[in-house]
Amino acid sequence: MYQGFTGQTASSSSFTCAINIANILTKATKNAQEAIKYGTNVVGGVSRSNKAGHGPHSDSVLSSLPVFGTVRHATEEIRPDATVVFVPAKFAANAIIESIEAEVPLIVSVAEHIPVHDMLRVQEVLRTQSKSRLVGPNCPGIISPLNHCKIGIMPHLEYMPGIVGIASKSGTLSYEAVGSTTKAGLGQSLCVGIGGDLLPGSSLVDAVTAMIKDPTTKGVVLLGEIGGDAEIEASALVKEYRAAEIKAGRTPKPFVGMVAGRTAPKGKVMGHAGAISGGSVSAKDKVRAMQDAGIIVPAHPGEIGEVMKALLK
Amino acid sequence: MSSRGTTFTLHPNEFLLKRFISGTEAEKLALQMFGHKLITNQTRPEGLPVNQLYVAEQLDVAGEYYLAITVSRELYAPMLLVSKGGGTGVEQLAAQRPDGVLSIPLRYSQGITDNVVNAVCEKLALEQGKYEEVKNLLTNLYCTFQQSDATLLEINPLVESGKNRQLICADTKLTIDNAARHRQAELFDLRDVSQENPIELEAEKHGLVYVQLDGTIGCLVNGAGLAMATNDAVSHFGGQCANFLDGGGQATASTMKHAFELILRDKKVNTILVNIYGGQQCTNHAMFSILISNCRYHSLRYDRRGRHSSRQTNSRHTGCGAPTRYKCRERPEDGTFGVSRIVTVYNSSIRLQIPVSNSLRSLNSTAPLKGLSSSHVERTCNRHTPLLVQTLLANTKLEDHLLPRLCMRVGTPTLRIRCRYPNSRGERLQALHLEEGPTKTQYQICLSIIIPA
Repeated sequence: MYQGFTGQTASSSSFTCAINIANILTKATKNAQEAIKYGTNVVGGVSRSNKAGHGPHSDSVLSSLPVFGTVRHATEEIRPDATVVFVPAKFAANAIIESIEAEVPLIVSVAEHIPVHDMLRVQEVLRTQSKSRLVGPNCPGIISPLNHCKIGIMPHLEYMPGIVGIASKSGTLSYEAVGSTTKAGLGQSLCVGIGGDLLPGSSLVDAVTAMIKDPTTKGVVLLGEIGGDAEIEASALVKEYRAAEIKAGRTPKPFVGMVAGRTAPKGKVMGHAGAISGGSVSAKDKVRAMQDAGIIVPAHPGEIGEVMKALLK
Repeated sequence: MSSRGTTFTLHPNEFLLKRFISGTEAEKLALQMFGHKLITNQTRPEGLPVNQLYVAEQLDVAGEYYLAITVSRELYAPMLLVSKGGGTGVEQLAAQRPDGVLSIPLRYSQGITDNVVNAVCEKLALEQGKYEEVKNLLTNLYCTFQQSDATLLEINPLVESGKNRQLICADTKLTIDNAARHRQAELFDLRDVSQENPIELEAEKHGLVYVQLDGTIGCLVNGAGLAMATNDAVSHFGGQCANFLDGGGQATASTMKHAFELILRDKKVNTILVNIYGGQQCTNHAMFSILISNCRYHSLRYDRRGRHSSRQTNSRHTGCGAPTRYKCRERPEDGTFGVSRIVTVYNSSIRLQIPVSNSLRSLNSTAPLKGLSSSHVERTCNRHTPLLVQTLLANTKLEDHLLPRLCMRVGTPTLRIRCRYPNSRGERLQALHLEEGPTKTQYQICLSIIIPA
């Protein structure tokens, strides 16, 4: 599932919960229980309250899992392929940096409202190494319904194993795409939430690259929104990919895309820290770039599934 | 204010400059400005109230420059922007001559290095002797940028004084990251709330994001992307939203209640569109009960005497504490009342169907609605229901003038949805799109928008 994304396969994928404070503990614990039930191979967790060493998880369902005091200790003992950071926004940056320093291959951060300057600090560390990839923050995470592996907070019961890859800046909008592609009978192979923040760890380009390479993904849904120009870059990549495939005599994977915020007023932050209209690139520009790259743009999210189905025929 | 003979610049913002030389003149000018609206390309269209004026000494300007530190989304790093010639026209300048603005990416931990200072001096064509002064200025600015959690620190203009060739920051704009509120309490205390929309401020208190728009359809959505997409979709179908409202990931009963209250404050709203992605919250029965209560309540009773009518919501079955009393508003200009309907859209499991069917019922039903439990709906709906509803509504859409009254019997006789379109007020159903969900007992409504004709 993560081929090209982290170099790991889903079957060996594991899941570390970095748990920092008591009230978050319950949330992360519940999420870990659900993830295990779904089929994710969860191998352990980290909790600040467990500084002394490591011990079993206090929850009866998770009691077989070790909980460590530091990410470094955890990686030495259980060698996770991935970690999900459930630490609240105030402390998330340090938790992410701790995971990068411990060289965890895939780090997923779900927290919303991490200060921009904290992320600038994280980005500086992130961009001077090649061992770790960060997904998020402010995102639902990554799920591979095909491999029953879930790293994040998405409502996994809505997902159906299938062939469509979904890359999205918005969590709820990606759930709409999931509902729509499930309804069309296509299901999903890999869904990546990039997150709606100003400075995401992975970009739409990274997600699209992974989906182009992933052999189980037969079609790709690209969900963007106003703010930044990640959609333009992703469109350029799609254009290049499609041209190369056609030149080589192969049929390129079909792409369906949407850009939320066509009707957003100028200069307002629309819920996501990164969704600011009125910059140099408008929603219309992004839609135009998508269409120019051969990405089909439906009128509203409910149509995504049917449009993709028609394209895959 | 000033002694006669000294020149001051009245300077509420860089777009509105008034020069005056005497105290009396200043007073006269100030009176012309106070209480009025300031409209520039940086304000919202209706402008901002002028409550304070900024008075500054007029400088003897030998050179004007533009200097800013911002966050580059493309390079994931702080970015220093410098250009020769600052002042009010800098936006146009940058648009016309992009090469006129020098952008230097900075390492977050390093900040201003000698190379950066050299590049700036070269770009601004400053004398050799200016190096130390520029270095100090830039270092201090970067320090402020970091310490105040700024996303933008703009000096426009940076002025070279004609008197002693000193560099002076003549005007500043500082944008602070909202997410850093917890560690910038002092700066956030300076916030002038009189410049902001009261409903948006109220929303912020409750952890909601509300943005005022111009239409009549109030929207309540969870998730920013979905909220924007919902607004876009309404516009696609010819409607206009009254707001953008992101209820956040945690759609609890209390946030829902606050959200409804906020939407109802907007007098333009005559329809509410609810688009909550169920997902993880769908087990929260209390929330849906609240929603139903709201649906029931807001299918308003028309008070012909034009009095404010109010009804208690029935929260007996919600288990959510005391009943809440809402007030409806009169809209004297056309004799109708605030919200006439709520349309609920869900893209999730069967439980979420209750508000949909209830609100559909409430649209025209005169009888009070009875609370339906989720198991009740699950029992009574069958897999053909969505198709049936879709077909019937498709017909309504195409032939609505031929179908003054449409009765639908859906599923077993216990669940009955009645619609009558167009109704007495000439409103009609424009688009409703029902789909079968992943499992045979689940339904999805992709978009259901009701727009007054």
